[in-house]
Amino acid sequence: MMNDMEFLTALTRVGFSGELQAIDLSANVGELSDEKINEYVMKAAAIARSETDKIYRNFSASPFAHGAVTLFFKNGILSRLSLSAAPLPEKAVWRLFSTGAEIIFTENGDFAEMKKAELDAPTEKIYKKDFK
Amino acid sequence: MKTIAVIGLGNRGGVYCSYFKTDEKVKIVSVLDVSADALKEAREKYGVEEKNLFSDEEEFFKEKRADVALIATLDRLHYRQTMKALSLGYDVILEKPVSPSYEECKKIADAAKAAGKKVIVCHNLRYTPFYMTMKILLSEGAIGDVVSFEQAENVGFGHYMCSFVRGKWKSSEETSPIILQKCCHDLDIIYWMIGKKCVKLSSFGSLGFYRAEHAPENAAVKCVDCVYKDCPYNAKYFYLKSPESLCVPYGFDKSEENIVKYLSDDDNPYGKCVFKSDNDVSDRQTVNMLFEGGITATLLMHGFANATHRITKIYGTKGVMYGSLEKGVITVETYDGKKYEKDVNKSIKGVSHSGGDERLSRDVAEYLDGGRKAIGISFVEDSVYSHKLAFSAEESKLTGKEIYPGDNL
Ligand SMILES: NC(=O)c1ccc[n+]([C@@H]2O[C@H](COP(=O)([O-])OP(=O)(O)OC[C@H]3O[C@@H](n4cnc5c(N)ncnc54)[C@H](O)[C@@H]3O)[C@@H](O)[C@H]2O)c1
Repeated sequence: MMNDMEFLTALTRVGFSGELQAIDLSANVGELSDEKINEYVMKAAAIARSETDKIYRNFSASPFAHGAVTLFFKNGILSRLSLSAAPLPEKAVWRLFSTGAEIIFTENGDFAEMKKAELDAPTEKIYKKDFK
Repeated sequence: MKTIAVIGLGNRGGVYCSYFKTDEKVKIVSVLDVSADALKEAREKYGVEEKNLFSDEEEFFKEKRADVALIATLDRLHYRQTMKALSLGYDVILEKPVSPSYEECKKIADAAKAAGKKVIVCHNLRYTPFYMTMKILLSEGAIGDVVSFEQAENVGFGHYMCSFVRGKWKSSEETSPIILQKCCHDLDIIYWMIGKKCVKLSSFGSLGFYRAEHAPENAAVKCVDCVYKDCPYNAKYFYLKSPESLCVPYGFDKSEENIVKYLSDDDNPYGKCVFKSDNDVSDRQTVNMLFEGGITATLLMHGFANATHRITKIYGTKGVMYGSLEKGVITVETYDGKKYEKDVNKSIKGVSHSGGDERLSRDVAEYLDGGRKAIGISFVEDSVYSHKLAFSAEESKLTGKEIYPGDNL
């Protein structure tokens, strides 16, 4: 079965998705190290399929590490990666907005939720296992 | 009871008046509007006497016509009309943005102070049961002190193209940049909840999609003439399916035939191809901020959601709370393992802006009539600071520099 990033990048390539425009991540992680931040920057770049044009990092350390990286990719995709290391379970939720659909996916989940950019479009579930 | 003079009875003026009409604490007694349709509406819907209807601004401002002026004209008229109203001794209810010029915003705040008058800015998000409940939860210490704030304004593509590609706010020069026009509400919510000043910020953004190079081959300028009949942005296709999204004058008959005729008019921007309009405002923007005390906050805005939805997540020293304004459910999780939800849907009255418009109208009327000051009431000084974040963000977006908004207005 596909891993999370393969699944997400594949989802943005299918016909209904149109062109990806914005990537939003909200993640609570166990430890918020530079390595962790870079890992998420790389993930966003993989989804955007582009190199970074501009990047801004803004983090604080107290009472736990928290902050965000904002990124502008060379292909115009804009991204915000909000990261924190609060004393809560780890969880990372991606929201992708493209001209054809918006997609929500929680890392380690089995499916993504998708709404097409049409009036009154229903929420559809797309399962990783069914996705090639 | 306080009397109200309405300056600009368009869409927003009409929303507030529809609530004021049934509120015994206020009475609409006079209207200034350059549109004959608006004055007709004032006469028919609000029973304003003929002698108190004005289409000439100079004539209207010759004397004071009421206790309070509701100013709901487009952005670039706010400064001139608010200054005139203050000089005549009105208290003012002012639509946001205060002004597209930061200098003018400050002058309004100074003039209000000098005149000893109130200028209440219509930050209707503050009055929504959703954000009001979040504010109360914060003040009760439900999640401790704010540590970090994540705000997303996912603008629905239908709303975006209607207002920011074809509509009144498509041009920064004519009205104001989208980070001020649309996101001044989000920046106000962030500032209101955090209650501290912003130390530095950076903003990225652009108009990436709704541009000429994305027009399909042979697309017509006017959608009614276009071969791409079921393009999701086709004005005829979209507005016939969603006539409520169409901006039309008072009394417009929204029959299919009439809508098509309206969209066929060469001068009507709502009938134009979204890739061939004269829009220039960003269709995506982020603001990444550091507040005093090491609090971080970010805003993401874009015009590519299925339908408009705002998502807010606030981490505190004791827990986190989050939810979507449109769903109306706030989840609180504390670091000692408790989790609960607050469903605010039952307290939502009035459909516009998730209940914010109705509550704003009621709370402001009560306050101006000498009653209680609701927690949402936002005076111009506060709004000018949150507007300053928007001006700083736009400067950062355009110059690529980090900006230090600082303490002062
Ligand atoms: N609080 C919110 O959520 C919210 C939402 C949308 C718009 N707004 C703000 O509300 C304001 C009004 O927007 P709208 O959508 O109602 O616009 P609108 O165009 O529907 O209404 C403006 C009215 O002003 C009238 N007018 C024009 N020139 C005038 C003049 N010189 N004197 C008197 N009246 C004049 C027009 O005829 C019209 O009736 C804008 O500043 C906008 O930014 C706020």
